[in-house]
Amino acid sequence: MGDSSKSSLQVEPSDAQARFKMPVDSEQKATEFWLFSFAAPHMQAFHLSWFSFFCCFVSTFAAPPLLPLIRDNLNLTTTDIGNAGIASVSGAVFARLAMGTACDLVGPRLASASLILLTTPAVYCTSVINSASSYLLVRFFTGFSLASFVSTQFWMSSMFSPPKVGVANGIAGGWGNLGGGATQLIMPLVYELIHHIGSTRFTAWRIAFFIPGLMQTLSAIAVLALGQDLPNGNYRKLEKAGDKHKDSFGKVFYHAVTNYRAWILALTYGYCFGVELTIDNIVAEYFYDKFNVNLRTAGMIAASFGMANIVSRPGGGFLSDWISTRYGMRGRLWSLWVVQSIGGVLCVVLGLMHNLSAAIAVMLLFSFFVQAACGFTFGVVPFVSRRSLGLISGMTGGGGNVGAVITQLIFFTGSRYSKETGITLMGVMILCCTLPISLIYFPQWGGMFCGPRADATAEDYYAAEWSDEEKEKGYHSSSVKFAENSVREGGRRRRPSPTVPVEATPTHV
Amino acid sequence: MAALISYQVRVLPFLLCYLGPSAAVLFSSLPKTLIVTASPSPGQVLYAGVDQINVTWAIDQSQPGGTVSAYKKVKVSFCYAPASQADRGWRKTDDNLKKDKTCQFKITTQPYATAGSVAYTVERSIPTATFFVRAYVLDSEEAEVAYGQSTDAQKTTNLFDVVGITGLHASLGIAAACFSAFSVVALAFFFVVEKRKAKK
Repeated sequence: MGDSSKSSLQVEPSDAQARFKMPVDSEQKATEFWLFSFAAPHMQAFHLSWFSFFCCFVSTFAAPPLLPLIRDNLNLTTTDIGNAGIASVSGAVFARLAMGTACDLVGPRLASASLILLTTPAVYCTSVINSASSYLLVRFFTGFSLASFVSTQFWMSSMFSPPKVGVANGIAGGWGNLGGGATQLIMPLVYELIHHIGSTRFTAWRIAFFIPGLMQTLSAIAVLALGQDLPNGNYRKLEKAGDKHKDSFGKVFYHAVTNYRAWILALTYGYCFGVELTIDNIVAEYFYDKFNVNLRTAGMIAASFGMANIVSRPGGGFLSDWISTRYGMRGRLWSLWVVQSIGGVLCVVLGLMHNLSAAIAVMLLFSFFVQAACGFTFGVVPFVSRRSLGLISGMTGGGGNVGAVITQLIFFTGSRYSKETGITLMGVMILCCTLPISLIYFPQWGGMFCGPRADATAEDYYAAEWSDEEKEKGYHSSSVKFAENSVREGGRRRRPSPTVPVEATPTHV
Repeated sequence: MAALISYQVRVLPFLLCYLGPSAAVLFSSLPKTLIVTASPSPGQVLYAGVDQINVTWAIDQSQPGGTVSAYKKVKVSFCYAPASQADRGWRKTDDNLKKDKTCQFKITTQPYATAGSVAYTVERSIPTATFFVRAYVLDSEEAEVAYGQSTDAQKTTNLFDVVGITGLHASLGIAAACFSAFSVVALAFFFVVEKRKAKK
């Protein structure tokens, strides 16, 4: 995926360039994305981060496909199962915020590996639970591992240059989310193998949980052994050598919570990613009950929802990057709103389908749009802030989980709404909560309905996060470089954009 | 053209036969012509894999039954009592026997006789719940034509409890502890190595 408009990117001096197999920009971030390469440190970081995140998803959603066994073994009620489903996604709300800060302070490699290794005991202990409350607890603690999403996005944003950050974030996020679908196939298969070898039903499912646990442990060790925070090295080494300034939590926190765009994206992400998590938790049961398919078929349908992530979320990231080459940040915002709204419409339609094949078809379309919207969201997030990137990624990610908690609480707990009504109403909520995207405005690039201000620059925007004293000490140097590399977010200025709304101020040529 | 249509008309009944019995069997339409007794006393606790029960059934001579000549087999099952069905949609009772999920554990299927019995060791796959025993009489197409159960119509009397196996073994606990400890120790190891490298 070569990029021909390199005039906005500074060319590295040849000795620094020679260190890396891949072409890099002035921040040593890769300007190309080679999917099938393991070139250190960029592509290696990519593969380590998406796979460890995939393992976290496999563990978090390992229980739903085995519920027919677990609910009999532990004598669970529908209420117990619903509460545990909510618990599984609520832990990560705060964990994602904490993770964002941790990435800003100690780097994504240590932050993600620590989280993943510290949550594996919950996965192993799932094999010894014996009551509804212990089931809820293990799902709650296992769900914390979903916070590794933030470190994935942060790491990709640190390793890849703005023209490629969307596709890197999209594939890493999408292939990680894939775990939620893959586990619906993996766990029943592992269970049947163990049961076939000779264990009773109620022992076989317990043994099966060691597989996701081991996957998690080994992938986190690989991250620690092989990974690297930044193209130039790890945080601790760089900080000791004085190459990287160790930022203060208070400042990072302040610049994240005072940026309204972070809050809007946190809300809207709850209605693409949050909805995806909710569907992961309920779709197998929905098809099983409404259409009377057997459990294996319901599991396969459930898996296909999550498996669409192989292409849908990366597709969103890729399209976000591609649209920004023509229409800049405004294109990214418009396309995010359009795609997520179509997802909302399809969700409304899904609840209205009474025919099995129609429902599966609508569900697959719905999965593509809602997952692509996640990819589009993280095409915008890296540009909201440079100083507080980690915490803002965490806020957005946490917002995703809040959306999952809210939608499950309102629509899928208790018997107030039938599942199909719940799905339709959830679609309506998606449409309403996607509208705030129109309020996002970047002075230097514009928003959905307004063009950019003539005198605003990216340098001013990112430098505004640092005080004058900090600027004098040069702490903001990476922000300046990032701003230079983001010039392309202004869109093509050689000719006027054909989609400029009539009421907007004309973009300056 | 007429020949084609008449061919389709002739083929249609064959197709319908392959589709199987089109009318759903409703539980409320079945006559209760069997008397079923199960050996556990009301409220008795049975342990899965260990305890045994005896089930006997016999034709109730006083009940007007369906066509006895259609009775081919007797299927006896454990069925969930209402207490174990509450808030558990996967065990719901439905009048349409194709959708009914009350009786999920088959004890035995025997050829029909006016009386029969079975001694059954509660299998290890039976979960912890409250049960009663029901016997369905099946015809030659495996459709239910009559039934009998060890409890009353409201399913409140003569219920017994089964305590299922936990599936736990000591080895599981030990393995979980070891792997968990390994994960945490691995993390600590890398932290220590990091600190040493940074000091150099």
